[in-house]
Amino acid sequence: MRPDLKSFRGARPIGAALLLAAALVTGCAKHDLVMRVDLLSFTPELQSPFVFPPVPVTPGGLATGEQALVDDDVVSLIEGLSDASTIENVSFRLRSVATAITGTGTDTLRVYVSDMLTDPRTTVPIATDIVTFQAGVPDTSQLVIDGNTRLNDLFKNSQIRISVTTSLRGPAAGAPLEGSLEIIGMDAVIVAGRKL
Amino acid sequence: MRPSNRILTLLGTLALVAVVSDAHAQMMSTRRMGMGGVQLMHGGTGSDPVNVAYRAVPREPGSDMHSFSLPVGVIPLLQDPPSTDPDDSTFSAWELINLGLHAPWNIALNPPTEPEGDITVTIARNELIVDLGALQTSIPQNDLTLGASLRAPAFIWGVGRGFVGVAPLLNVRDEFKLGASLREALREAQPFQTNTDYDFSNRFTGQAAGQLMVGAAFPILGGQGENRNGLYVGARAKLLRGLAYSDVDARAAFSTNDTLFGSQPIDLGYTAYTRYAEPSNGGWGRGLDAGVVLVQGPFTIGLAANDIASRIDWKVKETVTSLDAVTGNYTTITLAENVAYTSDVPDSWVLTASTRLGPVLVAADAFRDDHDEITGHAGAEIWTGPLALRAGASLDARQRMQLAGGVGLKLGPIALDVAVATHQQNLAEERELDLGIGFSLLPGRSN
Repeated sequence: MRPDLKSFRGARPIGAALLLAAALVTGCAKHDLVMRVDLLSFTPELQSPFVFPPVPVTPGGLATGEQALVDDDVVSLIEGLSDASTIENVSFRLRSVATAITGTGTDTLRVYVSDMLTDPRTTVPIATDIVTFQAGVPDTSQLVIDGNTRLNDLFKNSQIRISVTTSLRGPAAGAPLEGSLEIIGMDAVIVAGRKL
Repeated sequence: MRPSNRILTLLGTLALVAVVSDAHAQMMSTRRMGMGGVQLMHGGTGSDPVNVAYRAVPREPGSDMHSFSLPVGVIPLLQDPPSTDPDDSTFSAWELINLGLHAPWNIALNPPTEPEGDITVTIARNELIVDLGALQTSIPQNDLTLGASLRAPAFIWGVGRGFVGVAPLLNVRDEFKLGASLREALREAQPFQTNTDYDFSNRFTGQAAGQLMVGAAFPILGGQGENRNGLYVGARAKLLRGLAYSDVDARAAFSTNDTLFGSQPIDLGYTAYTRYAEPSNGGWGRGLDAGVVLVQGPFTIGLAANDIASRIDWKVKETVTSLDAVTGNYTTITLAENVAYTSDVPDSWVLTASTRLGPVLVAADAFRDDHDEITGHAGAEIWTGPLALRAGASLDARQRMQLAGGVGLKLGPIALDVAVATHQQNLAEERELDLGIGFSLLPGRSN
């Protein structure tokens, strides 16, 4: 589903206001612009844990296939950031908690990011994290992606699209897998040097 | 550094000094710089630009001192000119703005240190914080007004008590206003709020004209022969020919909604109304300077009003530029052409006073300049043998106290002057100390 671009025009004026500061700020040789973007806050689907239906026991474990937790959301950044500064690095961080009530299994979390003209699911995921479910033992996982040039280029845009998918694999023996997956953090830290 | 950059730096510095020389005349006289920048009115034709009536006041005996300041601050600047290339790693907008705020005529003994540290912007769907760190102090705490006037060089021919002359007139004023909410967000890293207006505006006016001046100055009471005591008056009528005019009234604003980065679009408003006239559309104008001076013994006091009711007629073109919030494009529409418009040349007022307390020359002045800024200066000078000691203080346009001091060493018909003075004309409003070096010509001084 392609998001309604017109509904996100709100980013432009805020970007304009920030450029007022950026003209002064990034125009100084001794300063970097560090932008912390809480990506999780832009994905209402991830504001509560994803409670998945029981995954039955099957030989080799049942694969649910890739399902969208976040189909296609838009994240608003600062308009004109790339005009005022040079993005030096983007550090992406994904934190999740896998909780199983019964059974065991794994989940492959994938995060796709694209520009506004591209369906994120048609691109290579920028982050892939495998979490483990074990009844009674929550698995807290943190994945950090650093120095990804494609990610650096994507965050030059004033808006990006994001999609998050899950791929569960159930138990091969024992009890069916019941539980939930919660994304407790998804953010990006962008370091930009001066350009103006 | 490329030679062309040095030339640009030199030309830029000279231009800055030229246009601000009226307001910061202490830069051009090391003697005055050491006396807090106070106006020294000794009478005669050299004093009349400030107060036309001084033209009729006989020069004070032994006061034939003409002081100059050497552009010693330009030398280090030429050795290491600031980069104007944004792609240069040494480029610093902060440094360039500071150079614009205070022309580097003198040597800056403690130039402001550029704040170091990163700037952090925090973005979430309903959160926006801009933390400029050490650079917060660079966001003006008050409305920022930059102005410059130029009325020199003037070429005057005296005929008895009357005179005629020609001079250029350049007047520029730029007011930058940051809305309170935007100022708090940038200067204090306050989170941007929902349902709040954020705005800033800029109002610029610039005009250039040629002046033909006709006037007279004479005593109306006393002031006969060698006796300086008396009451003097003067007036200078000016016929102006407009050469160029422009004014811009621009405002940008936006209002946040229930959610900062939500689905509701925020309307960004940007509108700039412009009026301008080229030389062919410049008309005639008129203006008047008037002054009065009272001399009683060693005490002299003068009051002058310059550019009283000065106006210039123009045929202007009016345009409006606005931002299309949907497309993000700027559109300029011509509203009208050849519209009759009369611009005001802002008036200015100056009160000067001086006296001698024994061997000590004491002088003071108060200015309300043509940008509505009020400044005051006071200074003293004493000669002990070949050595002059000077001290002074001033209230700048923000009513902050600035201090100055200096010495002069007589070397035959000239004196070597050295002075230091504080100022806070930089983005961070840090107190700087300038060192000035210059000479005074002393044709009439015996000691």
